[in-house]
Order: sequence, then structure tokens, then C-alpha cells
Amino acid sequence: MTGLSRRTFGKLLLGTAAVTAPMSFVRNGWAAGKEIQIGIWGGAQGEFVKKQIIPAFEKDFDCKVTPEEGFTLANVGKMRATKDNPKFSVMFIDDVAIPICKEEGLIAELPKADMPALANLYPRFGFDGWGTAVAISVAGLFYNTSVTPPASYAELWDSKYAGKLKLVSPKNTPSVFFLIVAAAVKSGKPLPEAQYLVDDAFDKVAELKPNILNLFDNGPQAANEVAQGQADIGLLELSKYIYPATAKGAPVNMSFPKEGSFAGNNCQVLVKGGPNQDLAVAFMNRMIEPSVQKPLSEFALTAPPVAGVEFSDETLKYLAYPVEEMDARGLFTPDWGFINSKRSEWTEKLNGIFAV
Amino acid sequence: MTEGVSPLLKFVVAIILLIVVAPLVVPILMSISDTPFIVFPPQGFTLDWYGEVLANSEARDSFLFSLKLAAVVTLIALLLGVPCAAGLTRYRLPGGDAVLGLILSPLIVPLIVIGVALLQLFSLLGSRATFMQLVIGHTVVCLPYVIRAVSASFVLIDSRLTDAAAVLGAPPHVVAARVIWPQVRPGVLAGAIFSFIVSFDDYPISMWLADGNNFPVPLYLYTVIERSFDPSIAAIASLMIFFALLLVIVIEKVFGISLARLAS
Repeated sequence: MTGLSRRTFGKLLLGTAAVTAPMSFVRNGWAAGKEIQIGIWGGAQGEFVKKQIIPAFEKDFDCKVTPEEGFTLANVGKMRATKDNPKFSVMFIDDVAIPICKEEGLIAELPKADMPALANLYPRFGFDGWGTAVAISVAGLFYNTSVTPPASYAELWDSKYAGKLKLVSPKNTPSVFFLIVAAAVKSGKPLPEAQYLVDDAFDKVAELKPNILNLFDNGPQAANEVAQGQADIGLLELSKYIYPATAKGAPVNMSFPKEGSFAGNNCQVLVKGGPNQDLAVAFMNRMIEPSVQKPLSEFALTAPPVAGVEFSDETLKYLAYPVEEMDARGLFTPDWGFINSKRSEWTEKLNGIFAV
Repeated sequence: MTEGVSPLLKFVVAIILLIVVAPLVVPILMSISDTPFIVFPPQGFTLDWYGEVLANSEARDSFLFSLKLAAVVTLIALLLGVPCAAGLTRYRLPGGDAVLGLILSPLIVPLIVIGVALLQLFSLLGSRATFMQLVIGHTVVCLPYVIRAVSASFVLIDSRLTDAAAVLGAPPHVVAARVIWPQVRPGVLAGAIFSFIVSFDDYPISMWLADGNNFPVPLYLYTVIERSFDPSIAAIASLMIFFALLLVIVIEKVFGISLARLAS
């Protein structure tokens, strides 16, 4: 017998545990036992978030994060349906939806003081404090490697492509990119100016119809069909859906014509009034930390929205990174505030042109 | 059995079978392709994609979850649907037609609308019980199938048999068990099969109500297609076809009800 009382032994045990516990566990004690629900994407990004990022975050914060895979429109719909009693705390959506969510009061402004990782965020991906990008894709053409892709979007209207093109469905966001391209080809103006001229470009859109084999709404499936030679070229799609097939050795690749290409910004927003906002903010901060961004980018083949991440040359083949490279490629983010006000009207016109 | 069937009928049935069955063969062939992407006709031969799917814990969990969900939903739909069908067909109830219309309305209203409405309702109630939400949502959708199938059986009951049994002194529970049940059993079984398959295949309701811990197979398939379009997707589709086939064979063997009778 050592003469050590049970109470003293207990204190000693607790003290030892506190000293030897990982510092992160002690530092994040406030989060212990808390739970949040987040809406994420499917696809490679969703897979990585679910299998890698969330388990590590749960371990560090001793909390529970329940992900729900979806896509932008569905995620916005879920925020709307649960607005009076929010179920989600963080939602992943594309940049196109941020102005809508802000206007409808679905999201909250980010508390910058609680997000130290914002220091590395490129300003263009900050959305005035109403969200951050977490992954940047490039939208362009994808083609079967047995054909030479056009140097200019204007060539797509050539009759040599009759029945050889796949066009993105009007219900997908990249269909807006296509309309801007049509306006740029018709007007000869650069993409940033052409986006305001789409209303006058639907005759040009209709002229492309003989060259369109069919419409697609699933990027990976369309990439597979182009790889099999069902069509020569697909327009337009985000690199995150095409490059995984390229990296696997499928005969499909992306090309970015001289007029420029589009940024597909996958973002995260803080749901207004969602449960456990402090934990939600900590999760959002984790998402843009370089230690998370590097493996996420390498897995999903998307570019980080933060500075200072190092990649191998092999990975950089698929990414427009850093920000100087985005600018060199003419990576363009449309004026979503303007486009959202026109989107339904444009979608209706597109449906009218391409309906069987 | 088929001696009296006209050649024209045989030809039409063969064409219909070809149209229905031929598309099911395509994913099975694509699933054995030894290429990193889906290709038809298949190139090479491998069963590795099946191994990959079966070893994938996410796929397994989703499959088992869908089985559990469909089983619970089918049980509840039968518990609610059989008495409801019996009541609506055997008795003239005030407002019976309105009740029937209400119950069958999920067949008319787009499921995606029902899903978002349920999400809104559960949110207002403050419910976080995802499994229960899915069970309720799927039951709403499956109930019409049970009621339609079971109602048809009740309508076709030969009342002379029940009358004869009662006249001969059989108490009501014996009449129910030995006269009525054998006549409605095919309808109940058909309703159960419909209910199970509708729940197992449902996407629009689950899309709104599911979460990462309660993730049915159709949602999983959608996410896999978004991740990469490789032959593992064809392998999952093939496994689902084999599963449906197995289900039909088991039912045929265990319950001894011919497909022809189910279809009647």
C-alpha cells in the first residue's frame, strides 16, 4: 500500500491526463460533444471531405459532423425549406448562389476574427465576407484526344463539327458559360463584356444546333462518352469532372480556347441561425487551411483559393494555380448578380432552341 | 400450358421481353470490361469491379441501409394499407372516396414536391430523427401501391365462399384466416413487393430527407456517378439487377405464387 488515497489518485490521474492530452484537444475543449450538420457536394470533393477532412476535424474537436451530399440547387432548396428552424450549419454551394442566399437571408456574414485562415485567402474568393471558395475548377472544352481541339470557340460553329458536339444542359451552371461564349463569338467582345450581351446572342446560339449531337447533364458521364468517340468535343464543363477521367488514362482532355475560360468556384457559406455556429465557423476555417487544401486539391484536381500551397509539376498540369496562373489563363468569374436576374429567362430560351 | 397460345401472341411477348430485358444486359456486359472507364462493347474481361464494390464499406452500408429502410417501410405500409384497403372496399364509409383520393395523391403529386414539403414540416417540428423522417416519407409514397394492390384482391373476393363458411359455423377469425386470407394473399404480396421496390429505388424523397449517416443506395449511386464514371457503377447496377431477380425467385419459391397470378 502506498498510502495514496482514492481521491488523491483521481486528482493525479486527471492532472496527468490534462498534461499529456494533445494540445488541440485541450484548446478545442469548448467544442466537445457538439454536433453540426453540413451540406456538401457529391463527387470527388465530397468523397474527400467525408472520408478525410471530417474524421480529422471530429477527432481534433471531439465533436460530431454529419455530412449530407447534394448539389448547389438542392442545397439552396434545403436552406430555404428549413429557414425557420435551420437544420444545417454550413452549406457548400457554387458562387452563383451566394448573392441569392444573401438576398433571401439564408446565410450569415463570416466572423473574420474567428477565422485566422482567411489571412491566406485570395481576396477575389472572399465574396465580401459572405462565404469563401474552397475549390476552384476551370470550365472549358473537353475533347477526344484523337481530334485537335479548336483554338477559338468560334470554330465550333463550323459545319465540320455537324453532329459531333455535346452541349451542357440548360439546367447546369456551365450552360451560362456557353451563352457568354456565344455572345463573345457574335460580338467579338471579351468574355467580361460579352456577358451583358447574351440577350442579343440567341440567334448565334440557334446556329449551333446542327452541330449538337445531344445535351448532357452529368460531366463524368459526358467525359466517358467523348472518350468512347460518341462525340468529338463537349462544351462546356468544369475540370473537376473531366480531369479525373484524364488522370485515369481515358482518351479525353480539356482545352481552353484563346477567348479565355471560366472559373467554377465551389464555395462554403455559414447558414444563418444554424446550430452551433462556433463549431461551424471552426469547420469553415479548417476547410481553407493549407494543410487541408493541399490534399483536397490533389485528390479532386481543383485549385485552392488560398495562397502558399505547394504542388508537384504533375498536379499542376491539372490546376490553374496560383492566382497568377488563373489570370494568365484568362480565368473569368461572371457577374452572378446580373446573371441570376436573367437566368430563368435564358434557360427558357435555351430549352426552346434545343427541345426536340 | 402454352399449346393454345397463338404464334402472334408469342411473338409480341418475345418482342416485349427483348425490349425489357435487353437494356438490363448492357450494364452487366459493361461491368466486366477491363478498362478504367465504361465502354460498350466491353474490352477484356475482369470481375475486379465487383470486388471493388463489394469491398467498399460505403456501398455496403448504403445497400444494407436501403434494405433495412425498405423492410421497415413495407411492414408499416402493410400494417396501415391492408386494413385501410379492407375498410374502403368492404364498407360504404362517408367520405371514403375523399380518403382514398388523399391516400393515392402521392401517385399524382411530383415526389420532389412531397419531399421538400416533408423537409419543411420536419424542420418546423424541430425533428432531427433522420431515419424516422425517411420511414414516414417513404411510407407516404409506398402506401398507395399497397392499397391499390390489396383493394383489387378484396374486390375480387368471392362472397359466396365467406357466406358458406359462416353458414357452416366458422367463427369470423376462422373465416378471415382460412377463406379471406388465401384470396387476398396475392394482392398483399404484390403490394409488399411494390412497396419494397419503390422504397428501395426512391431518390426524390431521400434526396431531401437523408443525411450522411442514413444514405440509401440511389443517393450513393448518384454520388458515385459524379465521382467517376468507371465500370464499378455498372457493377453496382448489375448487382441491383441480380438482387431484384433473386427477390422474384425467392418469392416464387417460398410463397409458391406464380408470376402469372401476381400479374393477374
